[in-house]
Amino acid sequence: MDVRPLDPADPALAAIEEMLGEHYRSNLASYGALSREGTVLFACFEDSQPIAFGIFRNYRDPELHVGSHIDLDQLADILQMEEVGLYQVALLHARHPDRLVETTEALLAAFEGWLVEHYQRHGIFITLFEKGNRLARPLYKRLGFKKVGRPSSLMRFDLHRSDRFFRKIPPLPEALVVRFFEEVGEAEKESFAECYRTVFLRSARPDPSSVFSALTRVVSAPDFDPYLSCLLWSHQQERVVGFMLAQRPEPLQPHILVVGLLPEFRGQRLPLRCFPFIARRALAQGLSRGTFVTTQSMVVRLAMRAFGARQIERIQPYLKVG
Amino acid sequence: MTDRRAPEFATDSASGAARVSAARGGALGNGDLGEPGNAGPERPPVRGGGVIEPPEVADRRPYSVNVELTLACNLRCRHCGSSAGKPRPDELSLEEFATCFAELAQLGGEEVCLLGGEPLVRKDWEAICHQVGEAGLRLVLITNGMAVNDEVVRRMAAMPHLHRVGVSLDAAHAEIHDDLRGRSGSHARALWALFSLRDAGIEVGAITTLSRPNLEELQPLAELLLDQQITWQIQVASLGGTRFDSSDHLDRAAFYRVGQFISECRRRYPVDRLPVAGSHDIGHHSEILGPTGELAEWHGCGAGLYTLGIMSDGRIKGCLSQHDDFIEDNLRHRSLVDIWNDPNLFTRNRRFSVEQLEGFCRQCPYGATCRAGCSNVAYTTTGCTFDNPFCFYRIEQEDGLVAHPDRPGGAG
Ligand code: SF4
Ligand code: SF4
Repeated sequence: MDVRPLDPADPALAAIEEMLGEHYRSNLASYGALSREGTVLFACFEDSQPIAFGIFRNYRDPELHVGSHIDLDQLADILQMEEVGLYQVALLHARHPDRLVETTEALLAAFEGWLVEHYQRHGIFITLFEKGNRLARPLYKRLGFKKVGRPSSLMRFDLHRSDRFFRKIPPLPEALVVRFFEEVGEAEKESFAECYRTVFLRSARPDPSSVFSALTRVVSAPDFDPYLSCLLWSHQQERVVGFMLAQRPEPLQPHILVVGLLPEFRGQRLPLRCFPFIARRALAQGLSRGTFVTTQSMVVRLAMRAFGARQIERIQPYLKVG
Repeated sequence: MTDRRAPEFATDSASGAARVSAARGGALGNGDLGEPGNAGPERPPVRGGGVIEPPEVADRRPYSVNVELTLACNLRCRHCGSSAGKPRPDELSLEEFATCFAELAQLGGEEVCLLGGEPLVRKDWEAICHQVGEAGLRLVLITNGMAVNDEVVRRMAAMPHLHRVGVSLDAAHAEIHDDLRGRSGSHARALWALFSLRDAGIEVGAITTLSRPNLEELQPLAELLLDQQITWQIQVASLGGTRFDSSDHLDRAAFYRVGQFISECRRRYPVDRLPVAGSHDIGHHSEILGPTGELAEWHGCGAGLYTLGIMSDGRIKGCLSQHDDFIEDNLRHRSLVDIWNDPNLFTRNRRFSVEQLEGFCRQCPYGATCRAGCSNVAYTTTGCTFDNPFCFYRIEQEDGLVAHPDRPGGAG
């Protein structure tokens, strides 16, 4: 078995695209593989044919933040250490499930070898959210991965019952309005990038233009949902003070990817107060259910009480530091 | 260690804008043990312990600051608000702490409370304690007692600036304490620490963190601590720690019972026999219970006004109890002086307006000064820092415990 990284011209990519389409209804572009600096793709070959692959993403890449299922602050401690290369195992997949453990082991070993060449120190983390990652679960402990931080909860909300709940949700303060992505202009997008940088990337301190271009790519990705993604705009301060980004991985099931608020706007239940705006739009489109992920038990409780959300899965991150 | 609440306001020396309100004993500080209805004549303080009201909001300075020395801990308490256990990846060094204390002194700070995790598991804990004194600040130390031995007691007794030591004690019965704190023998160590420190002449207090499993321990603890010259601070475990099962969180009825218990203790026992107080964030403005907390009067949450929380990796909050959503900055990025003076930080308390209040707090007559009580309790229970269901006044009003002129059967 041969394992090697792939570049954008590799002829094996077509076969990997096919596996992604078949098993995950997804494609390499939506994982940012090969199109973004910082995303690395490795594949296992047998008789020159790819039999398994792994997608690894640089956690310092703002695009990864947006789609991350784990608490973005959890790894902030490590992110503060400049010399550490921190990568997330986005997806591991084997064509034949009975080869998964073996190929996963080989893929991770090859990827770690690559990290050692590129960084003084490195960290690899993984969640079991994707099916491929989940199937290789018994392996991780043996390879030295350890549980870190809080598990996230995958929550589902059911919009049929929402009207009953929404009557109790307080309206937004007068100075704030919800602006949906399909209607925002360039200035608001720039303000959004600045807001995002303050909310999630303060300690990593990337330069504003790289955040802006990364987020531009996020909002133009095929599964991004501009109709249900919104910014919270302050009239007084003339800037974006919060955001809720949604994705449509399944045509009828929106997923709220990430929610962020500037520190001084926290503690006022603003995401909750924005939620009816999103829910009404979703209902108008005939969507009745959606999901989101949170690491905060407080948000779990609040969402259950405020709009009847239900917890459907717990997602635990595992980390290996080398 | 679980006590991450803002440092308390008692001290035995009047200073700055703080005003001595009564020369009486204080539970781990602090607090005005108040004037329980029939407490009788003024009694001598237990030990030192004058009580100072918090400075006026206008005198904004980090008067008393909680500093997490490390997140490492030798216990795994179920109710630990900081989910302590392992150290944070890159904790502050001795030198960084020295700079931090010097800056606090420059900002007008007076008291530093060192806690954890468990502060004594840091090998350089003693050097850090000395740095507090060298910066001219008063020292308070909070420990679970596990690492306290004869040598530690001797070293602490030799620190002239050590003002108080708080030792966590969650139950009178060893099995309950040990179960909550995840280690057998921890109860015996806590008691040994309490009594040894006291006998070495150090002002010492027991800190009890309440959740469902130890609610019934209040009375046995009162009997244990009676006439022991040990102050007693009662606090309520807050939601937020990863090991805490939310079904162990006290509901409003149980919370009110805690207030009733403190009130009853104060009525029954003179302050020098049982100096007990609820932590400053427990229940306010009761019309029935009288003062139950450490403060003579509740002036609202002090996070970012006269208290500050410093995490062991340099991140800064208005108060260590607050949720991580309220991390404001990191003293490794810029100086503490710049952070404190930044007009855009600590906005929850610094830019408060009554329109922000929600729920019952919005129509409460105390709203303008109370600002919905403890921001952490409000946030972790309702998601809103300005809507606080854990308030004695609110419980009394909402549950009809006080006669109300416009309610059937009400007075008038
Ligand atoms: S109801 Fe709210 S504002 Fe009024 S005293 Fe209680 S916590 Fe404070
Ligand atoms: S958040 Fe405010 S009221 Fe609560 S413990 Fe901290 S300083 Fe006290």
